[in-house]
Amino acid sequence: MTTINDIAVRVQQRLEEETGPPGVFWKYQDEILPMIVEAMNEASLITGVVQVAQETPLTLPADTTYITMPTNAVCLLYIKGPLWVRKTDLYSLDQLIPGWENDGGTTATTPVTQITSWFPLGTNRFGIYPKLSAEQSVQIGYLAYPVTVAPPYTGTEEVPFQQEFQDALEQYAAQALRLKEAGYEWQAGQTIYQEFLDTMRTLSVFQSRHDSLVFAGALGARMRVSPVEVR
Amino acid sequence: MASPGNGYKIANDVLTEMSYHLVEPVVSTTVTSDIPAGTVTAPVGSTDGIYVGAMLIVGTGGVQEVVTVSAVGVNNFTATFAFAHPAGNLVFAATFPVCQTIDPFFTQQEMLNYVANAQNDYLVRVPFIYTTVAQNFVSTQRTGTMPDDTIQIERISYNGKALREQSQTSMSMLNPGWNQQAAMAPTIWYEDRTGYMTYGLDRVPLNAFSVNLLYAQRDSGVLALTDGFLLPDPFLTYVKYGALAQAFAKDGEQKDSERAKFCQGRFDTGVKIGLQFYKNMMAQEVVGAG
Repeated sequence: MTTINDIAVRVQQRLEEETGPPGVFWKYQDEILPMIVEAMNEASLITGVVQVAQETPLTLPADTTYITMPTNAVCLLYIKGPLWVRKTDLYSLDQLIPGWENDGGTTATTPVTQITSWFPLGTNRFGIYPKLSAEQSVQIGYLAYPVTVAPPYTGTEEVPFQQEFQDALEQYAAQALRLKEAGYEWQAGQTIYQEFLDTMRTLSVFQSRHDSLVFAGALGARMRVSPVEVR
Repeated sequence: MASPGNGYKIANDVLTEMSYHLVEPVVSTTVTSDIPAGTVTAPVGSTDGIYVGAMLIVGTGGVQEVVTVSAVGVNNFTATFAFAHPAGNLVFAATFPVCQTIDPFFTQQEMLNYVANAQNDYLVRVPFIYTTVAQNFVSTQRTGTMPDDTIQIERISYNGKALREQSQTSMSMLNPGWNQQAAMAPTIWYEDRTGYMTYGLDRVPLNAFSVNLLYAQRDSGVLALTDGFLLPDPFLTYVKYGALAQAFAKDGEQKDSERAKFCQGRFDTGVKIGLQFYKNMMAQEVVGAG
Protein backbone atom coordinates (compact mmCIF):
# COMPACT_ATOMS: atom_id res chain seq x y z
CA MET A 1 0.00 0.00 0.00
CA THR A 2 1.10 3.56 -0.65
CA THR A 3 2.55 5.40 2.32
CA ILE A 4 2.70 9.14 2.89
CA ASN A 5 6.46 8.87 2.26
CA ASP A 6 5.65 7.88 -1.34
CA ILE A 7 3.43 10.91 -1.81
CA ALA A 8 5.88 13.21 0.01
CA VAL A 9 8.56 12.53 -2.59
CA ARG A 10 6.19 13.47 -5.40
CA VAL A 11 5.17 16.63 -3.51
CA GLN A 12 8.84 17.58 -3.23
CA GLN A 13 9.24 17.09 -6.96
CA ARG A 14 6.33 19.46 -7.59
CA LEU A 15 8.06 22.02 -5.34
CA GLU A 16 11.43 21.49 -7.00
CA GLU A 17 12.87 20.33 -3.69
CA GLU A 18 15.52 17.68 -3.17
CA THR A 19 13.61 14.49 -2.57
CA GLY A 20 13.52 12.69 0.76
CA PRO A 21 14.28 13.99 4.25
CA PRO A 22 15.26 16.40 5.71
CA GLY A 23 14.05 18.87 3.04
CA VAL A 24 15.52 22.26 2.18
CA PHE A 25 12.95 25.05 2.11
CA TRP A 26 10.22 22.79 3.48
CA LYS A 27 11.09 20.41 6.33
CA TYR A 28 10.21 16.89 5.32
CA GLN A 29 8.81 15.55 8.59
CA ASP A 30 7.46 18.74 10.12
CA GLU A 31 5.97 20.42 7.05
CA ILE A 32 5.48 18.10 4.11
CA LEU A 33 4.09 15.04 5.91
CA PRO A 34 1.49 17.05 7.91
CA MET A 35 0.23 18.72 4.72
CA ILE A 36 -0.33 15.31 3.10
CA VAL A 37 -2.30 14.25 6.18
CA GLU A 38 -4.25 17.51 5.91
CA ALA A 39 -5.06 16.69 2.28
CA MET A 40 -6.25 13.22 3.28
CA ASN A 41 -8.41 14.67 6.05
CA GLU A 42 -10.16 17.04 3.68
CA ALA A 43 -10.57 14.36 1.01
CA SER A 44 -12.12 12.11 3.64
CA LEU A 45 -14.62 14.70 4.82
CA ILE A 46 -15.77 15.46 1.27
CA THR A 47 -15.92 11.97 -0.21
CA GLY A 48 -16.76 9.76 2.75
CA VAL A 49 -13.60 7.67 2.42
CA VAL A 50 -12.23 6.05 4.76
CA GLN A 51 -14.98 3.74 5.91
CA VAL A 52 -14.15 1.15 8.52
CA ALA A 53 -16.16 -1.93 9.39
CA GLN A 54 -14.93 -2.52 12.89
CA GLU A 55 -13.74 -6.08 13.36
CA THR A 56 -13.68 -5.83 17.13
CA PRO A 57 -17.19 -5.66 18.54
CA LEU A 58 -18.19 -2.50 20.37
CA THR A 59 -19.77 -3.12 23.75
CA LEU A 60 -22.86 -1.06 24.45
CA PRO A 61 -23.35 -0.58 28.21
CA ALA A 62 -26.61 -1.31 30.01
CA ASP A 63 -28.93 1.49 31.14
CA THR A 64 -27.32 4.05 28.82
CA THR A 65 -28.86 6.08 26.00
CA TYR A 66 -25.95 8.23 24.82
CA ILE A 67 -22.73 6.46 23.86
CA THR A 68 -19.31 8.00 23.21
CA MET A 69 -17.90 7.40 19.72
CA PRO A 70 -14.70 5.38 19.30
CA THR A 71 -11.61 7.63 19.31
CA ASN A 72 -10.82 7.34 15.62
CA ALA A 73 -14.41 7.67 14.39
CA VAL A 74 -15.85 10.86 12.88
CA CYS A 75 -19.24 9.55 11.87
CA LEU A 76 -21.10 6.34 12.67
CA LEU A 77 -22.54 4.65 9.56
CA TYR A 78 -24.27 1.51 10.82
CA ILE A 79 -24.75 -0.86 13.75
CA LYS A 80 -25.36 -4.61 13.52
CA GLY A 81 -26.02 -6.53 16.62
CA PRO A 82 -26.42 -9.21 15.15
CA LEU A 83 -29.49 -7.92 13.33
CA TRP A 84 -29.32 -4.69 11.34
CA VAL A 85 -30.19 -1.81 13.66
CA ARG A 86 -32.35 0.90 12.15
CA LYS A 87 -30.98 4.43 11.93
CA THR A 88 -33.31 7.16 13.11
CA ASP A 89 -33.00 10.61 14.67
CA LEU A 90 -33.74 12.17 18.01
CA TYR A 91 -36.66 14.21 16.70
CA SER A 92 -38.42 11.14 15.24
CA LEU A 93 -38.07 9.28 18.51
CA ASP A 94 -39.51 12.22 20.45
CA GLN A 95 -42.45 12.49 18.05
CA LEU A 96 -43.22 8.81 17.57
CA ILE A 97 -42.41 7.39 20.99
CA PRO A 98 -42.93 10.08 23.67
CA GLY A 99 -41.02 9.08 26.78
CA TRP A 100 -38.80 6.71 24.80
CA GLU A 101 -35.87 7.40 27.13
CA ASN A 102 -37.69 5.49 29.88
CA ASP A 103 -38.01 2.31 27.83
CA GLY A 104 -35.78 -0.65 28.63
CA GLY A 105 -32.90 -0.59 31.07
CA THR A 106 -32.05 -2.81 34.00
CA THR A 107 -35.42 -2.24 35.66
CA ALA A 108 -37.49 -3.20 32.61
CA THR A 109 -40.06 -5.94 33.28
CA THR A 110 -39.11 -7.58 29.99
CA PRO A 111 -35.31 -7.52 29.66
CA VAL A 112 -34.02 -5.73 26.56
CA THR A 113 -31.19 -7.66 24.93
CA GLN A 114 -31.22 -6.06 21.50
CA ILE A 115 -31.42 -2.41 20.51
CA THR A 116 -33.78 -1.59 17.67
CA SER A 117 -32.68 1.93 16.68
CA TRP A 118 -29.70 4.24 16.84
CA PHE A 119 -29.32 7.91 16.06
CA PRO A 120 -26.35 10.20 15.36
CA LEU A 121 -25.56 13.00 17.77
CA GLY A 122 -22.71 15.07 16.42
CA THR A 123 -19.25 13.69 15.92
CA ASN A 124 -18.68 12.70 19.53
CA ARG A 125 -21.73 10.67 20.44
CA PHE A 126 -24.58 8.53 19.25
CA GLY A 127 -27.75 7.35 20.92
CA ILE A 128 -29.51 3.99 21.13
CA TYR A 129 -33.09 2.88 21.70
CA PRO A 130 -34.18 1.23 23.91
CA LYS A 131 -31.77 1.14 26.81
CA LEU A 132 -30.26 -2.30 27.27
CA SER A 133 -30.90 -4.46 30.33
CA ALA A 134 -27.40 -5.93 30.04
CA GLU A 135 -24.43 -4.91 27.95
CA GLN A 136 -24.51 -5.98 24.31
CA SER A 137 -21.77 -6.46 21.74
CA VAL A 138 -22.44 -4.98 18.31
CA GLN A 139 -20.54 -4.53 15.07
CA ILE A 140 -20.21 -0.95 13.87
CA GLY A 141 -19.17 0.75 10.66
CA TYR A 142 -17.89 4.29 10.69
CA LEU A 143 -16.01 6.97 8.87
CA ALA A 144 -12.54 6.96 10.37
CA TYR A 145 -9.63 9.37 10.61
CA PRO A 146 -7.32 8.68 7.64
CA VAL A 147 -4.34 8.73 10.02
CA THR A 148 -4.80 7.50 13.56
CA VAL A 149 -1.61 8.69 15.23
CA ALA A 150 -0.53 12.04 16.61
CA PRO A 151 2.17 14.10 14.88
CA PRO A 152 5.09 14.00 14.23
CA TYR A 153 4.39 11.47 11.47
CA THR A 154 7.02 8.92 10.50
CA GLY A 155 6.06 8.75 6.84
CA THR A 156 5.23 5.04 7.03
CA GLU A 157 1.56 5.77 7.69
CA GLU A 158 -0.55 4.22 4.96
CA VAL A 159 -2.59 6.27 2.51
CA PRO A 160 -6.05 4.67 2.66
CA PHE A 161 -7.18 6.12 -0.66
CA GLN A 162 -7.30 4.63 -4.12
CA GLN A 163 -4.79 5.56 -6.79
CA GLU A 164 -7.06 8.14 -8.41
CA PHE A 165 -7.03 10.28 -5.27
CA GLN A 166 -3.29 10.51 -5.03
CA ASP A 167 -2.63 13.13 -7.69
CA ALA A 168 -5.11 15.44 -5.98
CA LEU A 169 -3.50 14.79 -2.59
CA GLU A 170 -0.11 15.76 -4.00
CA GLN A 171 -1.50 18.93 -5.53
CA TYR A 172 -3.25 19.91 -2.32
CA ALA A 173 -0.12 19.40 -0.21
CA ALA A 174 2.06 21.37 -2.62
CA GLN A 175 -0.43 24.22 -2.71
CA ALA A 176 -0.74 24.32 1.09
CA LEU A 177 3.03 24.36 1.50
CA ARG A 178 3.36 27.33 -0.84
CA LEU A 179 1.40 29.47 1.64
CA LYS A 180 4.62 30.55 3.31
CA GLU A 181 6.09 31.76 0.03
CA ALA A 182 3.50 34.54 -0.35
CA GLY A 183 4.76 35.15 -3.88
CA TYR A 184 3.72 34.38 -7.42
CA GLU A 185 3.84 30.59 -6.91
CA TRP A 186 1.47 30.81 -3.99
CA GLN A 187 -0.95 33.12 -5.79
CA ALA A 188 -0.95 30.88 -8.85
CA GLY A 189 -1.45 27.90 -6.58
CA GLN A 190 -4.73 29.21 -5.19
CA THR A 191 -6.64 27.86 -8.17
CA ILE A 192 -5.26 24.40 -7.39
CA TYR A 193 -7.35 24.23 -4.25
CA GLN A 194 -10.49 24.78 -6.31
CA GLU A 195 -9.35 22.01 -8.64
CA PHE A 196 -8.86 19.78 -5.61
CA LEU A 197 -12.45 20.42 -4.51
CA ASP A 198 -13.71 19.69 -8.03
CA THR A 199 -11.74 16.44 -8.14
CA MET A 200 -13.13 15.38 -4.78
CA ARG A 201 -16.67 16.04 -5.97
CA THR A 202 -16.04 13.91 -9.04
CA LEU A 203 -14.52 11.09 -7.04
CA SER A 204 -17.39 11.13 -4.56
CA VAL A 205 -19.67 10.03 -7.40
CA PHE A 206 -17.70 6.81 -7.60
CA GLN A 207 -17.80 6.48 -3.84
CA SER A 208 -21.58 6.40 -3.99
CA ARG A 209 -21.27 2.83 -5.25
CA HIS A 210 -19.69 1.90 -1.94
CA ASP A 211 -22.22 3.57 0.28
CA SER A 212 -25.35 5.62 -0.14
CA LEU A 213 -23.95 8.12 2.34
CA VAL A 214 -22.02 10.22 -0.13
CA PHE A 215 -20.37 13.16 1.52
CA ALA A 216 -20.21 15.54 -1.41
CA GLY A 217 -22.62 17.39 -3.64
CA ALA A 218 -23.87 20.92 -3.17
CA LEU A 219 -22.40 22.50 -0.08
CA GLY A 220 -24.60 23.78 2.72
CA ALA A 221 -27.11 22.07 4.95
CA ARG A 222 -29.16 22.29 8.12
CA MET A 223 -27.23 22.04 11.33
CA ARG A 224 -29.39 20.83 14.19
CA VAL A 225 -30.11 17.44 15.63
CA SER A 226 -33.75 18.00 14.80
CA PRO A 227 -34.66 18.24 11.12
CA VAL A 228 -37.61 20.48 11.98
CA GLU A 229 -37.33 24.18 12.81
CA VAL A 230 -39.46 24.89 15.85
CA ARG A 231 -39.79 28.63 15.62
CA MET B 1 -10.67 21.15 26.67
CA ALA B 2 -8.43 19.34 29.08
CA SER B 3 -6.09 16.85 27.49
CA PRO B 4 -6.83 14.42 25.96
CA GLY B 5 -9.34 15.74 23.46
CA ASN B 6 -11.64 13.84 21.14
CA GLY B 7 -8.80 13.17 18.69
CA TYR B 8 -5.04 12.70 18.68
CA LYS B 9 -3.81 16.25 18.13
CA ILE B 10 -3.03 18.76 20.84
CA ALA B 11 -2.93 22.55 20.58
CA ASN B 12 0.83 22.55 20.05
CA ASP B 13 0.42 20.40 16.92
CA VAL B 14 -1.78 23.05 15.33
CA LEU B 15 0.55 25.84 16.48
CA THR B 16 3.50 23.98 14.95
CA GLU B 17 1.83 23.81 11.54
CA MET B 18 0.98 27.51 11.83
CA SER B 19 4.59 28.30 12.74
CA TYR B 20 5.88 26.84 9.50
CA HIS B 21 3.30 28.73 7.45
CA LEU B 22 4.44 31.93 9.22
CA VAL B 23 8.15 31.08 8.82
CA GLU B 24 8.68 30.94 12.59
CA PRO B 25 11.24 28.46 14.01
CA VAL B 26 9.97 25.67 16.23
CA VAL B 27 11.73 24.27 19.31
CA SER B 28 12.60 20.58 18.91
CA THR B 29 15.40 19.26 21.07
CA THR B 30 16.12 16.89 23.97
CA VAL B 31 17.39 17.04 27.54
CA THR B 32 21.04 15.97 27.41
CA SER B 33 21.40 14.81 31.04
CA ASP B 34 19.02 13.77 33.81
CA ILE B 35 17.23 16.63 35.57
CA PRO B 36 15.37 16.46 38.91
CA ALA B 37 12.03 18.04 39.72
CA GLY B 38 12.13 21.61 41.00
CA THR B 39 13.64 24.84 39.71
CA VAL B 40 16.68 23.66 37.77
CA THR B 41 18.83 24.53 34.79
CA ALA B 42 18.21 21.91 32.13
CA PRO B 43 20.96 21.13 29.61
CA VAL B 44 19.55 20.73 26.10
CA GLY B 45 20.92 19.98 22.65
CA SER B 46 19.99 23.41 21.34
CA THR B 47 18.36 26.58 22.60
CA ASP B 48 17.13 27.67 19.18
CA GLY B 49 13.69 29.23 19.61
CA ILE B 50 13.93 29.26 23.42
CA TYR B 51 13.62 32.63 25.18
CA VAL B 52 12.67 33.89 28.62
CA GLY B 53 8.93 33.52 29.02
CA ALA B 54 8.57 30.79 26.40
CA MET B 55 6.35 27.83 27.28
CA LEU B 56 7.90 24.45 26.44
CA ILE B 57 6.55 20.92 26.52
CA VAL B 58 8.95 18.53 28.24
CA GLY B 59 8.72 14.75 28.35
CA THR B 60 6.05 12.36 27.15
CA GLY B 61 3.21 10.32 28.61
CA GLY B 62 2.38 10.68 32.28
CA VAL B 63 5.36 12.93 33.03
CA GLN B 64 4.76 15.34 30.17
CA GLU B 65 4.49 18.91 31.40
CA VAL B 66 4.49 22.51 30.23
CA VAL B 67 7.21 24.67 31.78
CA THR B 68 7.88 28.39 31.45
CA VAL B 69 11.47 29.42 30.79
CA SER B 70 12.94 31.82 33.39
CA ALA B 71 16.50 32.05 32.02
CA VAL B 72 18.43 30.92 28.97
CA GLY B 73 22.14 30.04 28.91
CA VAL B 74 24.49 28.35 26.49
CA ASN B 75 22.75 25.10 25.59
CA ASN B 76 20.59 25.21 28.71
CA PHE B 77 17.52 26.89 30.12
CA THR B 78 16.09 27.32 33.60
CA ALA B 79 12.51 26.47 34.56
CA THR B 80 10.48 24.91 37.36
CA PHE B 81 9.73 21.25 36.66
CA ALA B 82 7.01 19.23 38.36
CA PHE B 83 8.65 15.96 37.28
CA ALA B 84 12.17 14.61 36.93
CA HIS B 85 13.20 13.97 33.33
CA PRO B 86 15.90 11.55 32.16
CA ALA B 87 18.38 12.40 29.42
CA GLY B 88 16.79 12.06 26.00
CA ASN B 89 13.38 13.41 27.03
CA LEU B 90 11.89 15.61 24.35
CA VAL B 91 11.70 19.38 24.67
CA PHE B 92 9.45 20.90 22.04
CA ALA B 93 6.95 23.67 21.33
CA ALA B 94 5.90 26.26 18.81
CA THR B 95 7.32 29.31 20.58
CA PHE B 96 7.07 31.99 17.84
CA PRO B 97 10.51 33.33 18.74
CA VAL B 98 11.01 35.89 15.94
CA CYS B 99 11.83 39.31 17.45
CA GLN B 100 10.85 38.11 20.94
CA THR B 101 13.47 40.29 22.62
CA ILE B 102 12.47 43.44 20.71
CA ASP B 103 8.93 43.49 19.37
CA PRO B 104 7.59 39.98 18.79
CA PHE B 105 5.50 39.28 15.73
CA PHE B 106 3.36 36.92 17.77
CA THR B 107 3.24 35.54 21.30
CA GLN B 108 2.39 31.96 22.18
CA GLN B 109 -0.61 32.95 24.26
CA GLU B 110 -1.88 35.15 21.46
CA MET B 111 -1.64 32.28 18.99
CA LEU B 112 -3.30 29.88 21.43
CA ASN B 113 -6.13 32.39 21.73
CA TYR B 114 -6.47 32.56 17.94
CA VAL B 115 -6.73 28.77 17.81
CA ALA B 116 -9.28 28.64 20.66
CA ASN B 117 -11.33 31.38 19.00
CA ALA B 118 -11.22 29.66 15.61
CA GLN B 119 -12.37 26.35 17.07
CA ASN B 120 -15.26 27.95 18.92
CA ASP B 121 -16.18 29.98 15.85
CA TYR B 122 -16.30 26.73 13.86
CA LEU B 123 -18.40 25.03 16.54
CA VAL B 124 -20.87 27.91 16.54
CA ARG B 125 -21.30 27.58 12.78
CA VAL B 126 -21.27 23.78 12.73
CA PRO B 127 -22.30 22.47 16.16
CA PHE B 128 -20.73 19.02 16.02
CA ILE B 129 -20.32 18.36 19.71
CA TYR B 130 -23.19 17.54 22.04
CA THR B 131 -23.40 16.79 25.70
CA THR B 132 -26.09 16.21 28.30
CA VAL B 133 -26.46 17.47 31.84
CA ALA B 134 -29.12 17.16 34.53
CA GLN B 135 -30.21 20.40 36.19
CA ASN B 136 -32.06 20.56 39.48
CA PHE B 137 -34.91 22.99 40.14
CA VAL B 138 -36.39 23.91 43.50
CA SER B 139 -40.11 24.10 44.02
CA THR B 140 -41.82 26.74 41.82
CA GLN B 141 -38.53 27.68 40.10
CA ARG B 142 -39.35 28.51 36.49
CA THR B 143 -36.02 29.47 34.95
CA GLY B 144 -32.66 27.78 34.79
CA THR B 145 -29.16 28.83 33.79
CA MET B 146 -27.51 27.24 30.79
CA PRO B 147 -24.07 25.67 31.37
CA ASP B 148 -21.23 28.08 30.53
CA ASP B 149 -20.14 26.02 27.51
CA THR B 150 -23.56 26.05 25.85
CA ILE B 151 -23.79 27.17 22.24
CA GLN B 152 -27.44 26.30 21.93
CA ILE B 153 -29.90 24.05 23.72
CA GLU B 154 -31.17 21.28 21.47
CA ARG B 155 -33.55 19.47 23.73
CA ILE B 156 -34.89 19.53 27.28
CA SER B 157 -36.57 16.51 28.78
CA TYR B 158 -38.43 15.89 32.00
CA ASN B 159 -38.77 12.33 33.29
CA GLY B 160 -37.45 11.08 29.95
CA LYS B 161 -40.01 12.95 27.90
CA ALA B 162 -38.99 15.78 25.58
CA LEU B 163 -40.49 19.19 26.25
CA ARG B 164 -41.80 21.23 23.34
CA GLU B 165 -39.90 24.39 22.47
CA GLN B 166 -42.08 27.44 22.20
CA SER B 167 -41.65 31.17 22.67
CA GLN B 168 -43.13 33.21 25.48
CA THR B 169 -44.55 35.47 22.79
CA SER B 170 -46.59 32.74 21.16
CA MET B 171 -47.74 31.33 24.50
CA SER B 172 -48.88 34.81 25.57
CA MET B 173 -50.85 35.23 22.37
CA LEU B 174 -52.56 31.90 22.86
CA ASN B 175 -53.17 32.31 26.58
CA PRO B 176 -52.20 35.56 28.38
CA GLY B 177 -52.41 33.77 31.72
CA TRP B 178 -50.14 30.88 30.79
CA ASN B 179 -47.67 31.56 33.58
CA GLN B 180 -50.39 31.58 36.25
CA GLN B 181 -51.54 28.03 35.67
CA ALA B 182 -51.66 25.35 38.32
CA ALA B 183 -48.61 23.35 39.23
CA MET B 184 -47.96 20.29 37.12
CA ALA B 185 -45.20 18.60 35.11
CA PRO B 186 -43.47 20.93 32.61
CA THR B 187 -44.41 20.48 28.98
CA ILE B 188 -42.81 23.50 27.29
CA TRP B 189 -39.44 25.26 27.39
CA TYR B 190 -38.51 28.67 26.04
CA GLU B 191 -35.48 30.91 25.83
CA ASP B 192 -36.81 34.20 24.47
CA ARG B 193 -36.89 37.23 26.78
CA THR B 194 -35.31 35.28 29.61
CA GLY B 195 -31.99 37.12 29.89
CA TYR B 196 -28.42 36.02 29.39
CA MET B 197 -27.89 32.25 29.15
CA THR B 198 -31.24 31.52 30.72
CA TYR B 199 -34.14 29.32 29.73
CA GLY B 200 -37.58 28.91 31.18
CA LEU B 201 -40.13 26.15 31.72
CA ASP B 202 -43.89 26.35 31.45
CA ARG B 203 -45.71 24.57 34.25
CA VAL B 204 -43.59 23.45 37.13
CA PRO B 205 -44.36 20.89 39.83
CA LEU B 206 -44.86 21.82 43.47
CA ASN B 207 -41.87 19.79 44.54
CA ALA B 208 -38.21 19.97 43.58
CA PHE B 209 -37.50 18.35 40.22
CA SER B 210 -34.82 18.02 37.59
CA VAL B 211 -34.65 18.27 33.81
CA ASN B 212 -32.09 16.97 31.35
CA LEU B 213 -30.47 19.37 28.91
CA LEU B 214 -28.95 18.26 25.64
CA TYR B 215 -26.91 21.07 24.17
CA ALA B 216 -24.33 21.92 21.54
CA GLN B 217 -21.08 22.50 23.36
CA ARG B 218 -18.24 24.98 22.85
CA ASP B 219 -14.67 24.45 23.95
CA SER B 220 -12.76 26.47 26.49
CA GLY B 221 -11.80 29.99 25.42
CA VAL B 222 -8.31 29.38 26.79
CA LEU B 223 -6.10 26.57 25.52
CA ALA B 224 -2.86 25.24 26.99
CA LEU B 225 -0.15 23.80 24.72
CA THR B 226 -1.00 20.23 25.66
CA ASP B 227 -4.78 20.59 25.54
CA GLY B 228 -6.75 18.48 23.10
CA PHE B 229 -9.68 19.66 21.00
CA LEU B 230 -13.40 19.00 21.04
CA LEU B 231 -13.41 18.85 17.23
CA PRO B 232 -12.14 15.65 15.62
CA ASP B 233 -8.70 15.89 13.98
CA PRO B 234 -9.91 16.07 10.35
CA PHE B 235 -11.73 19.34 11.11
CA LEU B 236 -8.71 20.98 12.74
CA THR B 237 -7.48 21.99 9.30
CA TYR B 238 -10.17 24.65 9.27
CA VAL B 239 -9.35 25.73 12.81
CA LYS B 240 -5.76 26.24 11.69
CA TYR B 241 -6.77 28.38 8.72
CA GLY B 242 -9.20 30.38 10.87
CA ALA B 243 -6.39 31.11 13.33
CA LEU B 244 -3.98 31.94 10.50
CA ALA B 245 -6.51 34.40 9.10
CA GLN B 246 -6.41 36.23 12.43
CA ALA B 247 -2.60 36.13 12.52
CA PHE B 248 -2.19 37.48 8.98
CA ALA B 249 -4.79 40.20 9.62
CA LYS B 250 -2.94 41.48 12.68
CA ASP B 251 -1.27 44.88 12.44
CA GLY B 252 2.49 44.85 12.11
CA GLU B 253 5.21 43.62 9.81
CA GLN B 254 3.53 40.25 9.37
CA LYS B 255 0.26 41.76 8.15
CA ASP B 256 -0.72 40.25 4.82
CA SER B 257 -4.27 40.99 3.72
CA GLU B 258 -4.07 38.66 0.73
CA ARG B 259 -3.11 35.64 2.78
CA ALA B 260 -5.56 36.62 5.53
CA LYS B 261 -8.33 36.63 2.93
CA PHE B 262 -7.20 33.29 1.54
CA CYS B 263 -7.08 31.68 5.00
CA GLN B 264 -10.49 33.08 5.90
CA GLY B 265 -11.77 31.61 2.63
CA ARG B 266 -10.37 28.22 3.59
CA PHE B 267 -12.10 28.48 6.96
CA ASP B 268 -15.39 29.41 5.31
CA THR B 269 -15.10 26.53 2.84
CA GLY B 270 -14.41 24.28 5.82
CA VAL B 271 -17.66 25.47 7.36
CA LYS B 272 -19.53 24.55 4.17
CA ILE B 273 -17.87 21.15 4.10
CA GLY B 274 -18.78 20.70 7.76
CA LEU B 275 -22.41 21.59 7.11
CA GLN B 276 -22.60 19.16 4.21
CA PHE B 277 -20.94 16.53 6.37
CA TYR B 278 -23.54 17.16 9.06
CA LYS B 279 -26.35 16.78 6.58
CA ASN B 280 -25.01 13.44 5.40
CA MET B 281 -24.35 12.28 8.93
CA MET B 282 -27.99 12.92 9.79
CA ALA B 283 -29.31 11.37 6.57
CA GLN B 284 -31.97 8.76 7.17
CA GLU B 285 -31.87 5.31 5.65
CA VAL B 286 -35.32 4.60 6.99
CA VAL B 287 -37.68 7.27 8.24
CA GLY B 288 -39.26 6.46 11.56
CA ALA B 289 -38.22 4.83 14.76
CA GLY B 290 -38.78 2.05 17.17
